[in-house]
Amino acid sequence: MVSERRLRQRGAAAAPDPLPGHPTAQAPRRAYPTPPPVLILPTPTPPTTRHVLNPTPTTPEHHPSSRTVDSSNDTMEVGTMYQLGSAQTAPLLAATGAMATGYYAVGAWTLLVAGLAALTTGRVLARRRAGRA
Amino acid sequence: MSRGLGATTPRVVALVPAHDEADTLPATLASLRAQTRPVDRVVVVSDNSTDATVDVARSLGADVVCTAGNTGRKAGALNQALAQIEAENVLVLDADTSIAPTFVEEGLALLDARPALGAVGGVFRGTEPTSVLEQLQHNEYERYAVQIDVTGRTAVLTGTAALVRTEALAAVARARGVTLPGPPGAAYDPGAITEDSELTLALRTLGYELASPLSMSCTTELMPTPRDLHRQRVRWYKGMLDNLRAYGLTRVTARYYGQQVMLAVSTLMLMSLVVLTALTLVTGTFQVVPFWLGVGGVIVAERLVTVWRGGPRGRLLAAAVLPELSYDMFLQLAFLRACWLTATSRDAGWNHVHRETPPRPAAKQAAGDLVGSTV
Repeated sequence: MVSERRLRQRGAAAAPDPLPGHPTAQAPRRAYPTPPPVLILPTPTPPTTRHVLNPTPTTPEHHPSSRTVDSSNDTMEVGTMYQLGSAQTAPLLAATGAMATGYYAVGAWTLLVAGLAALTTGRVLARRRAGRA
Repeated sequence: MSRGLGATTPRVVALVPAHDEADTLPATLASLRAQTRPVDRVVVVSDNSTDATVDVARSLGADVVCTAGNTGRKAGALNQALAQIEAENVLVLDADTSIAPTFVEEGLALLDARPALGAVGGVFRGTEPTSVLEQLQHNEYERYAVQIDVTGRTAVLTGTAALVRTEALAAVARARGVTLPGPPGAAYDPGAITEDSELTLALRTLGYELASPLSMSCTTELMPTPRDLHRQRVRWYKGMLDNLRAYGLTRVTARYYGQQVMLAVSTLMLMSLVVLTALTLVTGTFQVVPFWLGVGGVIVAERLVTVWRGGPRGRLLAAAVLPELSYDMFLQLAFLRACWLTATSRDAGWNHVHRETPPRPAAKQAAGDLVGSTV
């Protein structure tokens, strides 16, 4: 969590210029409003095309939480942006978790099957050896 | 069957239930004639046959019982025949099945030696395979035989060929409606679509032991098409599920319930394995890990060893891995369908295989043995 003071400092510092023609190139730059964006309540506004969804590597300076946004629509856009992120993260995490669980379950089952297979092989070979003797 | 056994009571009567089996009956009856200990009487039970089954049976010296108003499938046909015969033991033999020449002799010796035995079943093998699908079934039967040989356990008294004490059948008939499901007085439950697995549960519930010596082999037909195979297996799986539902969870059925659970888990795991492997391939994260290659090698070794005696084609198929993996998944689909039919209380039905070509000679039996056709 980034403090309010730190956010203000970041706003005052020179932020990297957006690429020419990028929607954010038109936006006036200033510090994030308080409270921090992650605490802004979700709004029912649909996402707009002006969101900046992590266009650059997330170094501290480039982290989405340190970005400036259109002052006329601060709360709505930042809130929606994080809503969108959360909405994508939850199923992604669930899918990743399910896959990891699946791998472990299949791996454990395969080991069990291999153990039984080794046992059967041993018993069959022993039986045949005894039959020959 | 219900009458008392006298000094003149035949030792073994063979009952051959048949529905339109004129083509396959000669081979079955030939294998009966080739027994080292011949049966005392052969009765072909013609159930709603529309072909020359009755004429063929009579021409080959068998007695014929035609069912009347039977709606209980094979079980109903057998009940009608059992009511008309008298014997110490009954050899129930499918009309598409041939038995080893010593089948009756060995079976009787076992029944004499072990009074607790209620029945002795055969270990079924497939006819000589002519396609990959048949070879896969052949491998499956080979493994089943190996499993019986190694463990000594009889999972199901096969309905294809079994020598059953009449006294045990009478005990089952008396227990129906009391301690066993099914209508009172019926040796075979006409409501069961797999009467053999039902009889297995009935005999075990009454405390009888069962045996299936490897040497008592019987040769039965292999399904020629995936559709026939699917229908056959759906019936087998659903039959067992129905029987387990009828019997509930008991000391006897616990093991069978466990088998169904393991089957369900293995179905889920194999499908998960395929899906996860596909995902790794799609996402480009697939790697060959030596440890898992080794684990796979252990499994492949078992697949090879257990079909080794099935011949080079069987070994080749086992070594290729993928065909047998696909076959397993195919059977698991039948299991899933059977589960669905059971859950929705629908009937699996029977399927009669119609071959366009004449029946082929079976490799493992005496000359003249032919392939049967009932699924």
